[in-house]
Amino acid sequence: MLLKSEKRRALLQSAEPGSSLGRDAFIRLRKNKAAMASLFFLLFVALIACVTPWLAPYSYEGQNLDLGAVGPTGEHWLGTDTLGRDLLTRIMYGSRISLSVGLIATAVALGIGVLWGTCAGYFGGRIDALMMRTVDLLYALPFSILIILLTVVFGRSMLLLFLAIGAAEWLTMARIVRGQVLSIKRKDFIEAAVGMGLSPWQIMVRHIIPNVLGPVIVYTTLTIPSVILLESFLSFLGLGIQPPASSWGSLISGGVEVMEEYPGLIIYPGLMLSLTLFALNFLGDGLRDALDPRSSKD
Amino acid sequence: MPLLTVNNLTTAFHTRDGVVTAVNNLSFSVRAGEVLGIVGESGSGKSVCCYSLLGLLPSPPAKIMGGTALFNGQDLLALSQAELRQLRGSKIGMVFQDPMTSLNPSMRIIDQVAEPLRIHFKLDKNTARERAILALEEVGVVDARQRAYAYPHEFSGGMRQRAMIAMALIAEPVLLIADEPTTALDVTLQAQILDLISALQKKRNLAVILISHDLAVVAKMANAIVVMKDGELVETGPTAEILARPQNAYTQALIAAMPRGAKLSATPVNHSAAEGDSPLLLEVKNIYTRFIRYGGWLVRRKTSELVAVNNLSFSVSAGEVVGIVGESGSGKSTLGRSILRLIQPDSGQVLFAGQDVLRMTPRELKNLRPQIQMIFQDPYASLDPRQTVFDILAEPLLLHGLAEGETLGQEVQTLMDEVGLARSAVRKYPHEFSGGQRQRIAIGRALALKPKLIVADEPVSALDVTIQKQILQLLQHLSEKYQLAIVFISHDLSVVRKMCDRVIVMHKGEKVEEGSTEEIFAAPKHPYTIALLSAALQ
Repeated sequence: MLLKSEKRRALLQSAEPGSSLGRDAFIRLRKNKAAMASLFFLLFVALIACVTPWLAPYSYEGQNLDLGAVGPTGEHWLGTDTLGRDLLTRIMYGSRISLSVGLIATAVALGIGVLWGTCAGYFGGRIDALMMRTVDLLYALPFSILIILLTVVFGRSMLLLFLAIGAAEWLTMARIVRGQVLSIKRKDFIEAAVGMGLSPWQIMVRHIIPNVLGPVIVYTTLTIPSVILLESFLSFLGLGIQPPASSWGSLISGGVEVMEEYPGLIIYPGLMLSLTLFALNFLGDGLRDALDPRSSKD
Repeated sequence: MPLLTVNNLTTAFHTRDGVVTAVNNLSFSVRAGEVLGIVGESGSGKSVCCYSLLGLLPSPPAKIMGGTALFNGQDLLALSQAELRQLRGSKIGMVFQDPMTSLNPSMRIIDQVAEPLRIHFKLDKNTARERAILALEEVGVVDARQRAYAYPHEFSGGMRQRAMIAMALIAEPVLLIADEPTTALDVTLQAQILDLISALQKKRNLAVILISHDLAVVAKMANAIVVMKDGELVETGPTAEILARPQNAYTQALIAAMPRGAKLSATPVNHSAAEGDSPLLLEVKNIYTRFIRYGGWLVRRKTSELVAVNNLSFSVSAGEVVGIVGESGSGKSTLGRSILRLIQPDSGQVLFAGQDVLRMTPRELKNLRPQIQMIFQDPYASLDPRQTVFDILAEPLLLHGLAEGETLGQEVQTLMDEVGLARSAVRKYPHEFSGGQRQRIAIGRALALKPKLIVADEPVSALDVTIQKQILQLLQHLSEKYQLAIVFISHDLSVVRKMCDRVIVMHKGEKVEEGSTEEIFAAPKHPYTIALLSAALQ
């Protein structure tokens, strides 16, 4: 008991008081086997993606036209594509693009969306109307035109593409969050916080955002895959990454064309994408449960 | 020959933690023309037993483990869902607690009342509607022919409950199950609805099962009483017998906790305050608050206006407990929130220690916050579900820099001792506590800043009677110990009588009467106060 309270005090000194939810959530998450396995899988894929330039057996653009498309062999574990490029290498390099677009674009969407929605919902009235009409306006703009405009103005860069995708995906997030905030801000505990003397910003950060996390996490796990696929669509339009660079999306769309002759070209990148998405969903569900103290008892 | 005979009913819930028995080996019977009251605290299994009879429990997790329930010679527990559907609404009517949630908000009252006839007797729409109007008239809906076409939200709480009763009785059932039919209503309405049920019961020779946590309600209505606790039958017998000679300790406790106007053992009147030699702490002057609803597209137009608090003034001395009484909608909660400036009134002053709270800058207001705190009605809603008890109690202390690091832990533990919570519970979340314990946490949070004034908005209305008594005693103790002034808002006169030195009666946003507790209860002057007092069940 003594040790525990000492630990707690140390923890409180090091972090803000809201942090025990985070710690409890981590303890709960650790008990969820599917979520933990998914977490390790994702970390493993991310690690591989980081060290790919040193680890990859071949160069991603090195062609071997004599070889053409072959199935898995001792030298090419997953075979080669129609131009004789090593598929494993290309999937490894692809994961760099796909994971970073998934991560960065979703983080951008999450950040803007949660902040925007929370502010609109919490302040209400004219501020809410103004902010949400802005969202409606942006909804009305065709997404691809928006991206084309952005790339024309700012030039083509990978990071900008990620930001642009994120900037388009936050709209739905903002709406979801606003709806949740509207119902939560009427609860007595928010009034109690006002009565205690918390500022609007403190109330939003400490009491409102932790209570909207459930739907936010679920929507985030849905956003990441759609963002990864969006990137391949943009690449197809010539706005994303260009050959010979590869992403999972572009590998899959390339594989579709030769699906009947060389099914491996779609199966392996597709498998990677599916496994990643599975893992994301398990992890998302695990996080949602872990962050809700009511969902489990320990 | 009883109409309904329940023998050894056992219902269990299969949860993650294993099997929880909600009703254990329960037996009772009801005859035609008889009212049976089932009394118990929340969680005692009184609702579950009736829901079991009608097959209304979700299964899984609920499972009826054994027993029989003979209704007109049929065993209800052995019937299929299809057979039960034939009985529900036609032979057995049901009235639920909250008429707002148990009526369909998007369906006209008349069609909801007529629905049992359309389903069970396949009547056409117009015939069924005619019968519905008659039924609404019978339950006392004025102008039923016009008002029947309204939607539930256009009815008041009492009217909705009348509509619910009309719906339950329209197919002329022989048994009516009423689950807390008046709990969500004000005292004056409560009396009206109980009288209505009683009148209809006599007229139609109905058998009624009345479920309530409120012994006073059951004592008024029932011929026989079943007392339940933790899923088991504690005591049963004729009402007069039970009230006069309760055998079981639990029944005795329930009867003792029954509000009968008598004061708690500790005298609430804080004499120094009552005699007026304490300094004035709070002075509320001419508060006027109205709510304006805006509508219209593009241009905001005023569509309706409601004056919630009309030109109301009162004052509170240090250490004094002032009760504000009124029905729901009388503006008493709005008034309470105005004191903390959770609502900005349109005009008036709230002088706290001489300073006007309503005209303070945000910085001044933050400095004032520790002095005035609030306790809310619903302890389920007033605590952030994602904070541990430690976080909840530590937050105000950290925010106002009253404690940190070393002292924080000690302060939190002192608070927990003060409000009677086990220290070991510090890492738990609100949902792991019972209603009464949660209200203790909320009181602890209010106390953390060592306030001089607490505004308590219906602090015990959501709690069971035995728990109510404990919480009231805690508040009283704290008020005496710390010279804490309390503005005690309640619709429950017996609670106010126990707690308060002075009472203010509110009606439709206005103060209709003010005086010391003894004066108000002994010799009420205003007709509304008299009506309120006579409606409160004796």
